[in-house]
Amino acid sequence: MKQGSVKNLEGTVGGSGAWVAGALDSAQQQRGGWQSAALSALVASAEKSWGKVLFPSTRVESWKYTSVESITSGNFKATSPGATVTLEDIDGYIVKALNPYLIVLVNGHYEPTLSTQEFVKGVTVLTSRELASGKNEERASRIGASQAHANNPFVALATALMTECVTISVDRGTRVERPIQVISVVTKEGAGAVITPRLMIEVAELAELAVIESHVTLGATSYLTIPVVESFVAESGRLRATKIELDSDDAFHVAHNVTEQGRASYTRALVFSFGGRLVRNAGDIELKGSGCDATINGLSVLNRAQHVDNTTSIHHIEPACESRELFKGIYSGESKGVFSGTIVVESEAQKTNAFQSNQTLLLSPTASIDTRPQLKIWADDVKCTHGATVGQLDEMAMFYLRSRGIDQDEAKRCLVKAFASEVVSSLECDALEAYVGELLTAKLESLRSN
Amino acid sequence: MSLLKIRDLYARVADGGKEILKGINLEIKPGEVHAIMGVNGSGKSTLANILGGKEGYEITGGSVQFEGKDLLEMDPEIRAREGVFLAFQYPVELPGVLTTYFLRTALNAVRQHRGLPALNVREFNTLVKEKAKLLELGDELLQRAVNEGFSGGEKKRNEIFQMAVLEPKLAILDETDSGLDIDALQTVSEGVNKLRNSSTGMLVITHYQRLLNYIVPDVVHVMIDGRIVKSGGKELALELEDKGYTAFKDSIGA
Repeated sequence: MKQGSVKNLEGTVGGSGAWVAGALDSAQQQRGGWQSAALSALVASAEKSWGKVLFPSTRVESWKYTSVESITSGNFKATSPGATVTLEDIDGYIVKALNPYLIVLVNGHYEPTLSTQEFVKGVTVLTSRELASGKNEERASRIGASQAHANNPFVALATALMTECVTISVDRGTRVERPIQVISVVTKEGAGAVITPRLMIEVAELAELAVIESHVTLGATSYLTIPVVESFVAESGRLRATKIELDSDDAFHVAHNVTEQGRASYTRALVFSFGGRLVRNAGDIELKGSGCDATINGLSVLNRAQHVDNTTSIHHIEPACESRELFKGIYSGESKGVFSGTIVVESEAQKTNAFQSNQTLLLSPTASIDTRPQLKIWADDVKCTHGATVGQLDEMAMFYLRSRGIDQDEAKRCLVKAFASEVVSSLECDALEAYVGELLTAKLESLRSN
Repeated sequence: MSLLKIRDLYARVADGGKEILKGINLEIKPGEVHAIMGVNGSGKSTLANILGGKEGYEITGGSVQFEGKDLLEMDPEIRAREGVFLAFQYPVELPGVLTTYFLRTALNAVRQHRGLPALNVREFNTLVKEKAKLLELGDELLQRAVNEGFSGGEKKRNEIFQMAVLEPKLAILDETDSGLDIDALQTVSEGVNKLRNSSTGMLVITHYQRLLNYIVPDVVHVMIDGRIVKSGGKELALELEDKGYTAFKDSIGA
């Protein structure tokens, strides 16, 4: 079965965006000498799809609560490489305790001087230079190969605008000890830009990899980033993917992460949203083999007029897979959250276990959440639950803390952190938990003034 | 000087709700243990909550002075820092909040207010171990989230433990005996007794005389319908146990 979101998109048009044509032209010029037939075909097909779907309007079911009007009517330009960023500039964003391999994209362009060039045996990282040459067609043809790729407007746009891409491949049985941190940084030169960080991850049979995907800014205010990450995890492979979104307050971030899992594979995805003016994390997980295990958890902490939309789809195709999903939101100011989580269990997918939960803490009377947990179950021998809660800080808990001498702000922060802790601790990695914990503390400091 | 001085206190539920306290007078001096006994609905827990600074009540008359300062003007956290401690009838569970973090933050807020330097983790751990030893507690409670999944007895013991760490000048124990079996009651009472000293005042609120066998008060007050109708020595508790509250109600014509 195709996903509902894909079907719903056809024939519904929200607008073309006057700026897109110029950006497409620039992208085409930058691609210039691409030799790869696979990539050229992919881009050509994306250009065609984009021409059909365009920006979605809120009449499209999967975009009902997230208007992209401000993106459509904006004015975003393609960027050229060449901005100067030093390792010191991004030092604070590197999860140093884990000594990660680095892949750094500056304004969407791969920056070799900041990126690791030598990986451990069994890990291959290719960038546009190698992929576009036509000499790595097998790998290049995997880009855009995921099922949820077709007809998705932003994926189509990102692909049509693609000038760079990176692939990470882990060979059979290779257990990669150090995580790979992919940092997409937008500099002052990237103000007003549209960037399309593009990543394809392949984890072969019995291989294991951890990826940290960071989105950060160095002084840029408004920009549009459309990251697309496709992950293919083969039989008994394991992938941990942690996304940390720290875009500028005026940035637009419309991401699509697709994960396809083979038999008895394991994935754990964590999605942290702290920055951005409008953020959409679309996540599709396709469980294509039996006995898969998938977890996707998220935490969004917003203030002012920030908007975050977590739209996920977990597709149980084969029997005896288990999926767990927990998204928590902490919203203050006039911020707004959207959670739309779909779990589809096909008729063949007997003995499925699927658990989904969305929990929201509203810290101000003007903050809001639209939540829509959905189950579509075609099998009869399954265990599936879903639920959503929305609440405010518990008054009795606040009084209890204050009655011990803890001031109101600290009590509030303490309870909010406690609410978030379930997601943070699901990172199952002390160093990452500490890193994210610090980001959370910093973000909560900024809620004070709201 | 008195530690706590309540003068003709009237209070009701906020937003024009029911009047609950109808002229309370009470004075506690350092080192004294006072007990307030009363049936359910007599207003004793309301009094405890108002002294602790809980929202949801409106003071319609009278005053409360703590060491000569207007207690009712203070936020709950300021009261705590000044030295008021409320042991809750129903201690709140705080999932995700570690007891050590909670207590250290509280203690350092209190210490800062009193002009004392903050304790670092090591100093705090030493202090906490000492207090746990005093109350014969294992330190396993400290490694858990505050009250999460605790039994009734554990929660009440945790309240007394917090009191031991924060060293208040006035401790208000709101029905600390409720929900406890006799063994737990004994343990908790022993803990309270160890914290009795010549400078700390205590206000013990209870429904039953039983608790007062273990925590022997200097003064007993009988509260009926928002008023203290009779005060006396510890023998008053026994008289109450013997005759029941009805006799006192009758005597005041309530």
